[in-house]
This record gives sequence, structure tokens and C-alpha cells, in this order.
Amino acid sequence: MRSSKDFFCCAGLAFALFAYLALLLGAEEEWSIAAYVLLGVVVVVALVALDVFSTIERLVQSNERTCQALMVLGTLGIIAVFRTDHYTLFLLGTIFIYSVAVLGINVQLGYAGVINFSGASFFGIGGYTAAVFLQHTPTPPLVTLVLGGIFSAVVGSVLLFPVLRTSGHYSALVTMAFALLLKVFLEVSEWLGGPQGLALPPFKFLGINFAEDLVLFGNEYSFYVKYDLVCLLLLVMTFMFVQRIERSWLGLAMDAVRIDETAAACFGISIKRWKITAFTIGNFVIGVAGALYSMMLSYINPSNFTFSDSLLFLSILLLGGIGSIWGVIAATAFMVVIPEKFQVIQEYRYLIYSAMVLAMIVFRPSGLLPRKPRTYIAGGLL
Amino acid sequence: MRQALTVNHISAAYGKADVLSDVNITIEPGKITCLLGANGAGKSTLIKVLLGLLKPHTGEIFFEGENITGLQPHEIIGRGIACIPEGRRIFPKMTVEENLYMGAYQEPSNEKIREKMSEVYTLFPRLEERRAQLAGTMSGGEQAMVSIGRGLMHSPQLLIIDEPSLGLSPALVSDNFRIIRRICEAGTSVFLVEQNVRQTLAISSYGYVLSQGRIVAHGEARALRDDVAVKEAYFG
Amino acid sequence: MDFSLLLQFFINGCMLGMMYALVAVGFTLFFGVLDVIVFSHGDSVMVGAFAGLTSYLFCMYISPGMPVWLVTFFVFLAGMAFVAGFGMLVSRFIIMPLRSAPALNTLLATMMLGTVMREAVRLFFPDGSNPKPFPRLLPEWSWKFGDVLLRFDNLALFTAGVLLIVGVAFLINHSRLGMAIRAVAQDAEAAQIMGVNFPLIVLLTFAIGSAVAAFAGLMNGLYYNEINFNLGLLLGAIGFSSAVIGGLGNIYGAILGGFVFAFLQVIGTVATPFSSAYKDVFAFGVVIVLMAIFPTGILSERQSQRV
Repeated sequence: MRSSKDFFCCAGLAFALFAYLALLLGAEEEWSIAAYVLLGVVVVVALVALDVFSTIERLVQSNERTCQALMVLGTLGIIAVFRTDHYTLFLLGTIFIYSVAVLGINVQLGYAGVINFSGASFFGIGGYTAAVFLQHTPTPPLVTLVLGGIFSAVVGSVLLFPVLRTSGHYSALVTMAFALLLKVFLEVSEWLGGPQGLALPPFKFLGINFAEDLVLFGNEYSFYVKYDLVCLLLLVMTFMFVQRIERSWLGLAMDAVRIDETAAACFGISIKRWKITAFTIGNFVIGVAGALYSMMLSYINPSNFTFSDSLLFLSILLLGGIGSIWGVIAATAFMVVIPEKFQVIQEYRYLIYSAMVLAMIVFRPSGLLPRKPRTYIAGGLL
Repeated sequence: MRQALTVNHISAAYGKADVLSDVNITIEPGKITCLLGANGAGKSTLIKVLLGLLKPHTGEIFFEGENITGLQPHEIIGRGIACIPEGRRIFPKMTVEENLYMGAYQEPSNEKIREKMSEVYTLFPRLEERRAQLAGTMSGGEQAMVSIGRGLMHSPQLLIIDEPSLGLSPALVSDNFRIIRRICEAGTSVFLVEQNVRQTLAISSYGYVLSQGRIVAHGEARALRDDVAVKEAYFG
Repeated sequence: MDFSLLLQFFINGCMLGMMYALVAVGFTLFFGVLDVIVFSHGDSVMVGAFAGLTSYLFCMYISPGMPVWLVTFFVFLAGMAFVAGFGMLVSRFIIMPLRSAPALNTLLATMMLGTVMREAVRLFFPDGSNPKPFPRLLPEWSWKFGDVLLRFDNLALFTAGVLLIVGVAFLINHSRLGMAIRAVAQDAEAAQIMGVNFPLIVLLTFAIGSAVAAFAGLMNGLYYNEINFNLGLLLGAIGFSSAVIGGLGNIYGAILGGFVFAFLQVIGTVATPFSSAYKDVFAFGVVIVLMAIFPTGILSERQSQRV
């Protein structure tokens, strides 16, 4: 913390941001939502045009810990505001979990440069693993989360061999083929429920049943509050984990592998080892997210985990700026909230999504919040 | 007398390091004009600009009195400029004959193409023997022949030759320079871009020295040759 | 397994293989000239089928008594011309501006474009979200050899496909345009130095590849007598797989890849009688294994360096 003035600036900004988000999430009529979105766009454009945005960025960078804490606090505040609103709370949970999954892909593509067109498949593997274990064994839900991650990483390791042998478009195809294969596999496998899918018991922890409404001091709140808190916890943990990776020698090695394999190999960095590490870590994170998500949904089927969903993950990453952690979270929020809030455009949402991402790639390829030069912490992590 | 090519105050940037600033060059018709410079001096950038592959920031290029600045590469080639690019750049998965055809890509008359091709085959009998071979499977010296032959197919008024001696044995280099002189004697203006100072100046009539994107010296080849000791500094 | 059924599978494999090969040729051509994967190519197939259907309806509207051969001709002409034009627009306004961007961006951009095309047809074609019947334009003659039924329309479509592929291969290998396309594929800058009009060649390549895709779409419609807005996604993935199995940039590889994929599906169907749906699991699984064995395709032309 530099000074109390900085602190108040950060707090003020965070308050403004979350107040805005609360208004947007709470808005019901189409016109008011449109007005809020427009307001947001105008403010952002104005900030960029007036060069205030870079000042804010500097402020945030020099008070990183405070800002992170403020973000968590603000999010908790939002959850508190919507404590009885199932739908909005579910949206928030979805944002948190998708962010976790996309951060997993970020480790793969953003750091080590391993392309993964089957993100939703690993998400699904996590979900199905949780479903199968919870249905057939008395495994505690918390353990199944980890199992979901492990299974997803293990299945991913089957793909490692072809992924490592190929490069470029060939490697893209391997993961793409896997995504298509897995979806058909889930659809035709009766023991996994076929196209109908599987039901999951709710998440339980320390005797708390997450499917029951939260009762505090005699007041009843939506059960999603509990899920949101767990999802937020998972996001915070993933955030810290991914940021630590980025700033440690692990991230340095992965960056080297991504940017120039030949040069990296010349300096004794093992290409294979770092690609395997990144791919496995990424799939683990995606798998855990998938497991938690399916418990929150309480019902999963193959159409939750299609190739289009993998594309959605990659689009979010590209929209947020590859490698940029905050960008990923912002882009996820954007991609999840906007179509849900505009019921009129529900029908057109895929059209609008894809046209938007397409325009983005053509006109602003570095994403909304491009990744900053690294802050390397010597001796950090492990 | 009208000049073959005039470059006026050209400035251009290519990538980050390779920059041209305020380059002026005149190429006289029917003569060999050379451009000397070390690696990274900006020679390749200048050629890209001449061929329209790179747009200059400022400046103008006149070919036979007409302004060709900003034209598309194929339009510039269509005016009668040909180039033998650095590193040969033959089409490896085409036969020798197809490579030569590519050299005459803009020539509509089949008869003329055949005529030109037999000229090239007289110059390089080796190519006629290997006409059906894939160019990528030939030796380096033979590929150089394909590249030069391809540049002649177009019957250009101006031939730009970029580093013909790169990666060739000394004997082949001398062969190449002999052929370049013959091309010029047949009436084609030649713009020869080279690092090989002595042999280049020996066959050129006028020369320019490019260093760090600027023309640092120019003059009659003979004068420049005597000045070589000084200029050698620029070539490292 | 009795012989006639096997033969029926074989005929089906040939038809599918031809369709896949036609799609894969486009992927490989585009990769050749620009080193990009245009994933929306599968959806061009779908748009081709819908453009054909539209022109059929148009014909029926202006003159219901029009002879069938003329309608067929018009359907093919309109479908292929429309998609060719669309392909040129895509190359000019999406692919070319992204030339210096990472290959992943182009891949994602074209995937998004594919979604836009799919959704546009679903939302804006009348009742587009439901499957549409495709008219039977070809005579319904058939011959019976024992238990095997050989249909004229299948034979005609297959022959037309062969002719189209031979035509494209001839164009690429023996015409001035084809030579320019190959030159651009091998070294775009050297081709420009030879005087090749690079942007024009790219446009024409996209026109050719897209027209071939439209043909595949019309073939699909005439073969199944039904089309839907969604058919491009799987066809695109299969066409891409086929081109990659064969080795990107190699036309013959793409054709081979198309038939390999179709017969993998047939084998998958035959080998897993309990559920024919496993055929795609099997086919894509084999694709992954093939990629592990031949990392740059069976007839590998060259490595794709980017992404």
C-alpha cells in the first residue's frame, strides 16, 4: 500500500464497478439493461479516450493485493445483494466456474502454447466423473471434485502423445477430433445415461447440504449463495495458483516454450516436459471446475459439453486477451451475462456472440485487457 | 537521355531494424549499376520497395519516365522489370520447365515463350537436360541456373539481381558474373545488388554504397574501386 | 455378414468418400495458398445446399413446368456461383486482413464465421431450424444385381464428383491459373516477383474451392433428400480431418483422406453392430491415432509451422 489516497481511489473504483454490476444484474426491463450496457461502453470508451484508463491500470498494478481483496469483497457484496434471487446467483456461479475453466485453458494456450479445442470435453469429463462416483460410491463430494480433475488430466494424457508429436493445425485437429469423439461417445453410452445424461446429488461439505436453502438468523436465502461461495473460493484459489505459475520460473519456462521452441530448447528447457505440465495442469483445473459445475446444475447431459462450448471457452480467452487473468474473468462475465439478460436476443445470441468475437479478432486481436509484461518473483512457487 | 529507373528520396521501414532513409538512385539504361552494402544495410528492403512488395513512407520511383510508386507488384513486373531474388527462391515442387514458364508468367504469346526458353537452354544446356526434373531436387548450382534463367524468361528492360553469389562456390560465382555481363551486353539494364565488392565493381559501370539505410557513397565503378579501402569499413 | 449388405456398405462408403473428398479439396487448396485453415468451409457446403434449394423454389415459382434437366442445371449453377462469390468475400474481408495474425486467430475467426452462417440460415431461412426436404431432381432409375440395388442417381452423382475432381486437378496441374496457384502455394513472394497478381489468385482459389464445396452440399442434398442448417459442422470437421490425414496442401492427399475417413466410418458401422452411432467415435479415434503415427499426414506435403 503506497498511501491512503491510493487506497481510497481503489476502493472508490471498486465500489463504482460493483455498483454498476449490481445495477446491471438487477435490471429487469430490456430498455434499462440496454441503457446500462450503453453506459458501461460509453464510460470505458471515455476512460480510454481521456487516457484515464492507463492511470487506473497503474494504480491497480501498484496496489495489487488491495485491489484483489477489494474485488473479492465486492463480489461478496454482490452475492449479498442478490441473496434471494436464484437466477442471478446461478449466473454468478456460472461466471466463477467458467472463469476457472478458461483459466485452465489459459495455462495451456496462454503460457505453454498448447492448443486445446476440447476444453468443454475435459469440463464434461470432470462432470461425468463426479456424477458416476457420487451415484455408485459413497465418495465425499469434496473428494469427487479432486477426482474429476484427476480423471480429466488422466484422459488428457492419452491425447498427449499425438498432441506432442504434431504441431500447428495438425495438433488443433487432434483436440478437435477428441471433442467430437467424446460428445458422440457420451451420447451413445447407455451406462452414462446416453443423451438423457445423469443426475447428481448435491454438493455436501461439513454436513451442509448445498441443495437446501440457506437459513441465517431465521432468514431464508437461496441455496445458490452456498454454491456461489464455494465457486468463488475455487476461483480465488485458481487465480492465485495461475498467477503464481505465471510469475514463477514455471511460467518463464512455459513462455519460452510458447514463444520459440527452438530457442527454448537451446537453453536447455525441455519442450515436452513443459507442454505436458501445462496440458495436465490445465485439464486438472478444467476437470475440477466441471465437477463442481455439474453438482450445481444437478443434472448433466452430453449437450452441455459440445464442440461449440469448447469454442466458447476459447472465444472467452481470446476476447479477454490470451494470458491475461483479469481479462479472462471480465470476458467470462460479459459472455455469460449479456445474452442471459437480453431475453429478446436469446434466439439470436449465438449469432451475436460469434459475430462479436469475429469482429474482435479482426479489429482488436489482442483482446479487451491484453496480458501485461510479467512480474517475475524470483524464487516464487515451490 | 531517359533513365531506366530513378529512385527519389525513398524512405521505408521493414520490420523494425531494416530502414531506408532518403535513398536516391539512378540506373542508366543498358548498363550494370550496382548496390553494395553489408548484411542489414537495407538492400533487401530497397528491392522490396522497387518491386512494390513494400510501400515506401515517402519518395517516388520512376521507371522509364513513368511514376510506378504504389503500383502492385504484378503491375510493376508488367512494365518490364524482372528480379532474380536472393536465395534463388525457385519453386521446389515444379519442374525446371514449369519454373521457366513462371518467369514468363505475363507473356501471352506461347511462341515468344518457346523462343525465350530455347535462349535460356542455350545459355544453360544443363537445364535442358533436366527440364522435367523437380527443381527442388537439384543441386545448389543448378538451382541458381534455374533462378537466373527464370529471370530472363520475361525479356525485361531492367533486371534486378539480388546477391547472386550468395552460397555459391567461387568458380560458380565467376560463371554467374560472366553471364550477368552477357545479359547486359544483350541490351538489358541490370541493377546488381551484392556484398561481393571487387567482382561486382569489376563488371559494373556505376555503383552505390548503402550503409544503415543511407547511400554513403556513389560514383563510377572505377573510382569507387579505388576508394574501396575507405569503403571497406562499411562492409565490416 | 452377407455379401450384398457389404456391397451396399461399399456403395455408401464411396458416396460419402466422394463428398468428404470434395470438401477436403477446398481445405487443402486454401491451406496451400494462404497457410490457413478456413473452418467455415463446412458451412459453405451447407450454404451451397440451401442456395440450391432456394433456386429450385425460385424456378418452381416463375415457371412450374420448367424441364427437370434445366432446373437441375440452374440449381447447380446458382448454388456453386453463390458460394463461390461468398467465398471470395470471405477471403477478401476476413482471411486476407488476418494474414499476419497468429494462425489460431484465423482458425477461431473462421469457426465463428461458420457459426454466423449456421445461425443466419437457421434464423432467417423460412422455418430454417427444421430439416428441409430436398427435391429429387435426378431420375429414379435403378438396377438390381441380385440383392444389390444400384441407383442411377448415386451413379450419376459419383461420376459427376469424379469429373469435378479430375477437372480441378487438371486445372491445378495444367493451366496457367493452376500454375500460379501452385507457385503462390510454394512461395507467395517469389510468385509475386514473377508477376503473379497475388490477391486475384487468392480470390480465384477461394472461388474454386467454395464452388466445389457447394457441389458437395448439393450432392449431399440429392443423396439424402433432406438438408438442415447444421450439416456443415460435422462435414467441416470431417473435411478438415480428411485434408489433414492426407497431408495439408496436397490435393491427392485430400481425396485419399476423404475416402479413408468414409471407409473408417463404414468399418465403424460394420464392426459395432450394436450401435452404428459408434462409427464417428471409431473414425475420429482412428484419426487421432493416425495423427500420432503420421504427424504431418500420410502424403505429407510440408509442415504447418504456425499456430
